[in-house]
Amino acid sequence: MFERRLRLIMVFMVIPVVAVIARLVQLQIVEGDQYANKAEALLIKPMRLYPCLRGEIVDAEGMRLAYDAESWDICVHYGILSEAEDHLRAMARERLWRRGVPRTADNVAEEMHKLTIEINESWHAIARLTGKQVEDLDAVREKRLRQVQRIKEAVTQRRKIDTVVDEERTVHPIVQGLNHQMCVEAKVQLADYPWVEVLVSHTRRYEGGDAMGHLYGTLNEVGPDDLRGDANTADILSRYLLGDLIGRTGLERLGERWLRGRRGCEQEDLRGVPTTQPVAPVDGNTMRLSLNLRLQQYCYHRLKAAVREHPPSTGGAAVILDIPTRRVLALVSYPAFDPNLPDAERAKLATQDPFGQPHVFRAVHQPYPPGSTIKALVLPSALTEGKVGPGTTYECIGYLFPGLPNRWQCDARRAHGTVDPILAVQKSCNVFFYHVGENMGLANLVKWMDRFGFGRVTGIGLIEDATGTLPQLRRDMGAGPARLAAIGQGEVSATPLQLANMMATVASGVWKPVTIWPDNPDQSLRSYELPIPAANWRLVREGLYKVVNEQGGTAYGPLRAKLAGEEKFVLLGKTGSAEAPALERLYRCRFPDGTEKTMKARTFRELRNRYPEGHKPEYISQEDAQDYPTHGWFVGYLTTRGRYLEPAVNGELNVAIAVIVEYAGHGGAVAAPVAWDMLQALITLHRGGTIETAPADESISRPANAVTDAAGEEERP
Amino acid sequence: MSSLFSTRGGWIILLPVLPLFVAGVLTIQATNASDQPGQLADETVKQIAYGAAGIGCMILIVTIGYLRIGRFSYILFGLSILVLTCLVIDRWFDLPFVPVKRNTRRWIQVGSLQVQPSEMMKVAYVLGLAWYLRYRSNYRTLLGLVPPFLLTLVPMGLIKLQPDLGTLLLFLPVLFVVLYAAGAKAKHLVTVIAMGLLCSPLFWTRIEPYQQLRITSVMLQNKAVRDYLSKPMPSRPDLPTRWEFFRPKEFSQSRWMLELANWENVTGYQLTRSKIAIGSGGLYGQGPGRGVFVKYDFLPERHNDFIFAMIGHQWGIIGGVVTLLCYGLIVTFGYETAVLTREPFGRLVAVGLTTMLAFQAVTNICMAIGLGPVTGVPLPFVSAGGSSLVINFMALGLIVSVARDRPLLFTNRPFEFGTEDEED
Repeated sequence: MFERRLRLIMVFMVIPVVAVIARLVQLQIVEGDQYANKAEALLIKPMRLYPCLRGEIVDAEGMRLAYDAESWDICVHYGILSEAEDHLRAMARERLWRRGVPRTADNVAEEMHKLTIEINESWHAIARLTGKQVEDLDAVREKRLRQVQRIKEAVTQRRKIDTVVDEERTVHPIVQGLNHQMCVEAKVQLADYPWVEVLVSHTRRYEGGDAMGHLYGTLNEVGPDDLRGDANTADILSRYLLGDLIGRTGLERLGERWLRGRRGCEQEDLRGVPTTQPVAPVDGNTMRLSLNLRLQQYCYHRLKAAVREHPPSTGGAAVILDIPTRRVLALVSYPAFDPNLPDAERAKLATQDPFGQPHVFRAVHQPYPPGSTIKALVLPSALTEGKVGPGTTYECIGYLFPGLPNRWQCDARRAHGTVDPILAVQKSCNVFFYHVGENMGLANLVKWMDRFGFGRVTGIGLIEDATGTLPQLRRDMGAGPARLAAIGQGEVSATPLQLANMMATVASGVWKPVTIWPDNPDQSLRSYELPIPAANWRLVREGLYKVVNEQGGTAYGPLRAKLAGEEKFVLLGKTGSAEAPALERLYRCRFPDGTEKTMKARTFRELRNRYPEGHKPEYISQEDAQDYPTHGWFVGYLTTRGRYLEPAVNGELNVAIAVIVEYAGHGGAVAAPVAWDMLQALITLHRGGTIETAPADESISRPANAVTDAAGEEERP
Repeated sequence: MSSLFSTRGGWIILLPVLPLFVAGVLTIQATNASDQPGQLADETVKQIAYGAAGIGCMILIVTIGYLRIGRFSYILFGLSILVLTCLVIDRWFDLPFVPVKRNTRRWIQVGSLQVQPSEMMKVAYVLGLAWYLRYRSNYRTLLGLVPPFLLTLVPMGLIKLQPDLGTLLLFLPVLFVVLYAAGAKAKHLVTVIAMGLLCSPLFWTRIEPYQQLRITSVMLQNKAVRDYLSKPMPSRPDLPTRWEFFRPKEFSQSRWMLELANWENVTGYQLTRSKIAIGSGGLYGQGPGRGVFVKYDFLPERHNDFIFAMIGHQWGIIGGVVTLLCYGLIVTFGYETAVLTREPFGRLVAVGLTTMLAFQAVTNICMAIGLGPVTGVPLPFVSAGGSSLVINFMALGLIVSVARDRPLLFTNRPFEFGTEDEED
């Protein structure tokens, strides 16, 4: 019976044996291939990615503006940075294994000790090589550790499990931006330390200096939102990875997809067998701008000089457009900043110079009241609408309503007498245009402003491109807003780029989207011809011609001498003096010695800061500063002499220009000479000449420096 | 009946052990090989040395004879209990010779040697149990089962405190098989098993969360089950997961969801890799010393607890079946020895030790292929490891000794309660 029981037990034991065999059949035969594939997959190492260069930005003449400069980084493996004992132990064990030494606890401990010494040596070697202190390197090391930790936290949060991120398995730059010679030295001297690598890397460099400051925009590392919004998520070679750069503003953003290349890759398994075809990195495309760097620089410095000549001017902008193509030849904004300024420094610009606001890209981003320049738009509109005829005249007595000389004034506060449309443009007669505005009505004016591109993007594609504002239509508002709109004040505002495009539209009769990058594949705006008869255009152009070229024109006086030499081309244009809120106030204050004074200042704090301790004035009251300078506008275009009444499209040189100098006074006196100088530079370039791109005193006067600016202003009065 | 056990026992039991040992040594050598060919890895040398020591002990035991050793059964049992108690005491009073590894206390440090007392306990337990049962028959009553159970629960309780779940669960099948072989009534044993099953929820709540996870991993290895569990029940939409019973009490709902989502990388990591290793072996295997898992350390403990995965990887399903066959032969020879001897103590010792070896093998293999929970039970004669190898050879020595020392007894053949058994 004992035997019987044992046999029963054995029979029971057969059950697990059968189960095991069945399971083996399932695993090894039925699902064998599947598991074999999984085993192969274990061998696959992470793909090695090779970075590509971001495309260059060049100007119309092929001058290199922005490029990825080659540099080298000294990188150290994360395991060494983190000083993790596990990693050290693994390294020690590997070294013993390579030498065929038994990996006993004692041997490993000894090897770890040796390794620690070597790692220390390597830090000192890096410090020696780069002329840095070991403490500095330590600071960088900690920064890198923090960065990786942040990534790790983010990944852990997303995947909800503690994971080893790729960053923990790779090297991290400790010293960046080595030149070629240092790179070679580093490679030689650090060859003994396998955890230190000298890797090629790139730094984005921008040429052109302050003149190009705003244009390039910002380029910084992608964030979680960019990764989520990425259109190329399927393609690991094209998609954004952490650490990639993305253009945030300016040209870098406009050309992001064009400039961004495709990284290369190589993948092999643990045995060293390539698992995919290696792909070479493809560098980004070159972005060729329509901009001319030399002209841009000349314009910038000319504008800068104009702003500095006219205190309390805070800045300005200038735009030069090619009329037939609407390509931007120069797009200038002052004050500006060095495009190579790090992001952190850029962020401080606004607070360093709260009035200059160097970070604002005025030329495309800042809407200004257009002032009288809008008359070049209002007149053809009114003529076409039939609200005013070629022979219509109004009587100008210096103001609109007899007996009310302080309201609805004319620009010069002088009586223009009997004014016809051409004279109204030539002399910029407000009274005439008050009537025109009244006749047209605000709705009509807004419609025509829209046709000329106001209140809309210009199509340049920059994220900074502002729409400006159009007057709002309200019920029962009377003729006032229409009158104001007809002289470019009130609610209407436009950017310098919009005004330049308006002038180009007047010159050619066609509205077109502006472009700074002719190859832009995303241009969606269509050009269209304005429904204005040729006769009306001629009338307007006649007026614009007389503004500059005939006695009595608002720009004639300042430009007469300058224009004398120019035989081939003729300048047409419209000045404007746009009233804007005063930047300064009148402060009544009492000094310690008992005297009371009324002084002009932007803020009372600024006023107090002018005086030393003990002499600082006390505040009493404040009021608006009267007669604060207006924005000086000049908007015009250059065309062939003798054919200026025809559309400016077939000539040798047809360019539109808009120049604004903020708080500088009369447009004709301030902005028109600047505009002409810029155009003359363009003509010189056109004729193959050379121009001075930077004035001699450039080296001593740096912009964006509030302290010296303030000091300079103090000396002037 | 006798045709099954016709081969006379003795040293022949070594026949299936040798291929197992050789396969183990080959695998250990292959997984620890360095660049230099022909050189034995440290681990291999160690394994061979332990094997030799084990065979030495085996010969010594055969020379002494199991009966003489048997007289010291209670003493050995008591000593083992004492050593196990030391491990437990170390939880509160730090003893210098008890190293703590991964928060468990399983080893005793003797010089540079580490001994696993629970391995010793296995053999001592079988000896003690057999010594207790040899001339009795009171265990044929339900009440008479109490002493043998007490004898089992004491070492089990101590091992529970180490903790070592795998070894712990080995004692019960041995007890039942020995009791059954000795003639305990099947209905009593079934009653006890039923009671045990009724108490199992209590046991479930008393073990650590990681142990619970290891047990549930048999079920969780199926992705469909994991997905099913991580969805809320239609009737209880307030609970994010189903079958709350399987969620360890220490785990919050979200932690449990994470556990289910990342099972393959956390709790199921070894099992997943082990299955890949076995599955990629296919029919014939990758060949000795070849294959992905041999070259690269993708499977933790591959030369130890998971050595069966390496056998399946290198020699395919053929290797797996041959391994099973070897254990089958060991069981056959062991039980045959028990049948052929008339000495009651020897009978129970042979049955107990054979069952012990068989259950270790089954537990280990089931673990490697995902039929059982992941436990630290080594594969007898194959896995690298000093204590277990030596002890297993000693167990083998006892069986051989039983087969060889057959004292002439003028008694009835023991444990032949045939007539009543028939009535059951």
